[in-house]
Amino acid sequence: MKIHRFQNPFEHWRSGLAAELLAFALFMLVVAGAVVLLARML
Amino acid sequence: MLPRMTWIDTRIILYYTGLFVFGIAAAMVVPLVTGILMAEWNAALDYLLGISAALVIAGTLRFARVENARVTHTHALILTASGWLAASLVAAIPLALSPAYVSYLDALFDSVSGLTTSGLTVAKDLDHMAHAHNMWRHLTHLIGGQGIVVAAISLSIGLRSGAFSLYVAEGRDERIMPNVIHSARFIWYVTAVYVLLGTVALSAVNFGLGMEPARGVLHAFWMSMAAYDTGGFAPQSMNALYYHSFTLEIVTLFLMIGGAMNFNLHAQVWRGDKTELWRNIETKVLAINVFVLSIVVAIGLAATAVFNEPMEILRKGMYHVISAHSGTGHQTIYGIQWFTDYGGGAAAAIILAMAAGGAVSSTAGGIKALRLGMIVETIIHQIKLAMSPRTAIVTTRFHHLGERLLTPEITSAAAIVFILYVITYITGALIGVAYGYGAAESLFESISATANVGLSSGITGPNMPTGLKYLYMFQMWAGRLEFIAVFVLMTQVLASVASLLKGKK
Repeated sequence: MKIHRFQNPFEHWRSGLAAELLAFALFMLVVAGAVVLLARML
Repeated sequence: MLPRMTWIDTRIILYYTGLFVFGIAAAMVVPLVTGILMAEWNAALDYLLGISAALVIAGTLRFARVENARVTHTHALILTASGWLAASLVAAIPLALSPAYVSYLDALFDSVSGLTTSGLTVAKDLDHMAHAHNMWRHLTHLIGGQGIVVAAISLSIGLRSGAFSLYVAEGRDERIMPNVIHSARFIWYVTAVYVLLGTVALSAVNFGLGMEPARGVLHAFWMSMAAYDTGGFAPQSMNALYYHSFTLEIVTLFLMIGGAMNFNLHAQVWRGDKTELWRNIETKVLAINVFVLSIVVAIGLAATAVFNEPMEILRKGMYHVISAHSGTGHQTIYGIQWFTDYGGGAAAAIILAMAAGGAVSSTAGGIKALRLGMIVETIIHQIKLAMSPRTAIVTTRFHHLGERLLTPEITSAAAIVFILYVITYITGALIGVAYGYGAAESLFESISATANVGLSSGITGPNMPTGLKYLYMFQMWAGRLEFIAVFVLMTQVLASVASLLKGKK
């Protein structure tokens, strides 16, 4: 799908929001996993 | 020679400043209603008086109206700086009338802190503050986070002329849609979605903690506004630590990350282009920084041995890295613990996270991820240039809402703002040291104020020196507007004073 710079951002807001929240959750899981693993080793 | 303001220019600025003051008066209706609903009659009266004072000021400034006036780029810069100043002065009136503040100066400190989404507070009795006043404090985060100018543009209150210049002057580098009014409205739309989701989730958490329904919902609404707008105020003096809830910490982490994201990135993802989430240079910089600094903080915390358990290290470490990096300032430790229990290495990582800040065109402060990315790209570009033959043409591209070419103009603009932030961070720290505070604490507090974070090493409080209150207010104001608008206002004021003095001679 070709996304135009000034396309209406309200069109896919639900899937966009879901993608954002999923990305945040995955990122936090990766950081948390690394921190916990490191804390166990130290 | 610098262009000097005429009387007509001054009238244009005064008139539009009056519109911002009118907007603040309108927003004060929310805490007024809160006071009435919660039967806090004294607090409700404070807002009635606040609204009356604001309307008198706004009404007086309307007399400065100039027919067919056009807001130029210079007007926009001065108006943005003066509008924020006027909004803070007026927003402080009801707070000053409450018993939670020792003086008008302290109330002004909190209104500047609230509007700039810093979160530092000098309230003397936060735990017994009226709900109406807490509503107002957190509402200033919402107004300031999206931007006073953005709020005025989105409501189209007489700001159509020069609207884009004003929008840019407030630190929004890029418009989201062709129409600047629609861009401003989109910013409010995204905010409403996140704050609503946050309020629902945190209300459930608060009910689970055993809070009464009304108090639980209010706390949830306030914490959601503070977290998404990367403000950092909280209704209790212990901040997020008051709740002792891992779930609350997770929900606020989502809100803080969402708030630190560029509104343009939200728009691009909401248009359907989800790849922008991992291709954008800003998200890459933020992700790498948060990951590396979380590891550094974990090592630092393990070294102090105060926080022993892996989960404890995670909760006290990653939470504060994201809180600092997003410029929020929610904390789950006491201020004095930063340089005792938290340890030097971990505290240094938090200082770096605060200084770096979130994304451009977001509610976060600090140097910003895009500028840091530009500076790193420039260093790589210079290395490539040094390694190439003299006749070679070396180009560097980066991805930020599309492919872009790194140009000398982009590099110098990023470097100038970077230098201004660093100078302000260091100058504020040196002044703190001159007041007798430790170097580390002073640097921590100076960066926290300038980058609009709100984490405190314990310096900020009702008993801090008056000079430091003025200093931190200036740092919060200048940092939020990214310096240029403030410098233009100061130059014009100094030029006018010099001109008056010359005239007298």
